[in-house]
Amino acid sequence: MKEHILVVDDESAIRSLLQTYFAKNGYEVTVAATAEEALRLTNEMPLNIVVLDVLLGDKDGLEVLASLKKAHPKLPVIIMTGIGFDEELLQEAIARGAAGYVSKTLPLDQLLMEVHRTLNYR
Amino acid sequence: MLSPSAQTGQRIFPADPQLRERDQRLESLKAVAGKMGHDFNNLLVPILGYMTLIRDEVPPESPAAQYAAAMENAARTGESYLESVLLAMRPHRLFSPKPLDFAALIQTQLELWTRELSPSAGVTVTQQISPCAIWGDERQWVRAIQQLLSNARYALAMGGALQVTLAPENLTGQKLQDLGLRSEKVFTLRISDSGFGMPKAISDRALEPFFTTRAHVRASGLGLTIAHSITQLHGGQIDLESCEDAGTTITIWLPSEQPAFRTPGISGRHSSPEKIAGRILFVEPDPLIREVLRSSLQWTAMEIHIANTGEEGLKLFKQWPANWSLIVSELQLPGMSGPEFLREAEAHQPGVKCILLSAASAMPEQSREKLSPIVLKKPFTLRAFHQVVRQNLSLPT
Repeated sequence: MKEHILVVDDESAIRSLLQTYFAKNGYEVTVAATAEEALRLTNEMPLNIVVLDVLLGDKDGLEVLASLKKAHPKLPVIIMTGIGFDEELLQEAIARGAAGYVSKTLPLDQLLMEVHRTLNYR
Repeated sequence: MLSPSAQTGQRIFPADPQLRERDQRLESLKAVAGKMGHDFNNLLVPILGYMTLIRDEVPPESPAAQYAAAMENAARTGESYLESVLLAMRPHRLFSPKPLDFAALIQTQLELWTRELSPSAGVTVTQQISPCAIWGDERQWVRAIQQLLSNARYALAMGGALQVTLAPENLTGQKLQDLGLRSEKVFTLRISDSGFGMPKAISDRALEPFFTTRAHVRASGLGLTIAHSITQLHGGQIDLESCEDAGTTITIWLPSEQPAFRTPGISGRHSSPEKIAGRILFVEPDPLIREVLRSSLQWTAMEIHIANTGEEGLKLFKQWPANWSLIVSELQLPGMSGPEFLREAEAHQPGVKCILLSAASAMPEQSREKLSPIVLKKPFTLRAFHQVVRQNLSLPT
């Protein structure tokens, strides 16, 4: 059975890119544009992993991370950011339960590797 | 790694009027340029991503693969440029401070710079560098010092002297205020060249983002902005003195104690929102009103849920345990009306607090008796909305 990824990003171009890319690499992919939609979807469907943008239009992604981890402690969440990762943000993400983090500007295969790594170490 | 004492510092603007005006102007310019850099960087992500997909799909020797490679190269060049822009405008986004031998860093960069000089350059270098340990980001400082030395190299194109000094200094109260620094104990770095200098009209603007007199060689005009941003991020101050045909001196003051780093962070991450826990439901068909009301509650740590209709709101309401803090509903909804929705919600969670938003002049009698919701008549101010929210959450208004 395919592993199921939820991609949360408020940029539609990035959502469709990641949906295409993960699907091409054998995953079932669901996308969400808002924090609200992401929280609803995690309650509605079985998921193996969430890839979450740190800057969402409607909410700080780190707050969403905390809500997701509270509702689904075992669901791994990888944090994505557009412009690098400062140490403070990283520490905050880890403190709130992030399983990993990637910069969106990295090549896609590195994001895929991070997803593989996280799923293999569950 | 952040130091235990690292925390958001309140921005102090210098008391010196010129420095103050300069820093305020730079802050505005950096905010605009930083936003543009960030947004453009986000646009590059799907472009680069789809390039990866195209590369996987087309035969490597095909013209299409070559076109894709050329486009990817162009996008990567854009990405690298935006990295510099973001380093200049938002250095806190890639900030990893740790104990740093600043004196050794300066010496290394100076040696590298000197090594590049040809024997016929006619440049002499003197240095007086005292031991200096700071709490700082090594990668950022390497970049800042390289930028400053690169400027000096240009100014010394016809030869001259470069002098670099680094020494501890105790600043007096007035000087401290003039510079907008917190710590009396500082390390002062001076990089002076005896090059051709700048007229005042140029030196006044030299720290501005994208300001350059060397556009013909495609200089980005970011070097001094980067040095300014990095210095300020480390709790320090930078000043530039220049005189035409006499040279330029850049002075950087850095606190010798661990500074309270000025990291603005993202989305008000450090703005200490009021810790009001709880869950709020908006039932509002108008996306504009939803957006405004939701963003106006950013000061809380409330979990906000949104529904377009009463039916959708009820479904959402019943999905969660019956401990909602507040419902904010439009009176006139498509389908189930606002009062009808509130009655159903009340049946699920007796006593739930409600606010009705109404364009109409009066509430239907039955819902007023049953729920006693507060009715906010449009138009209303956001201040009034907050007051009502506070009342409902039993907070001081």
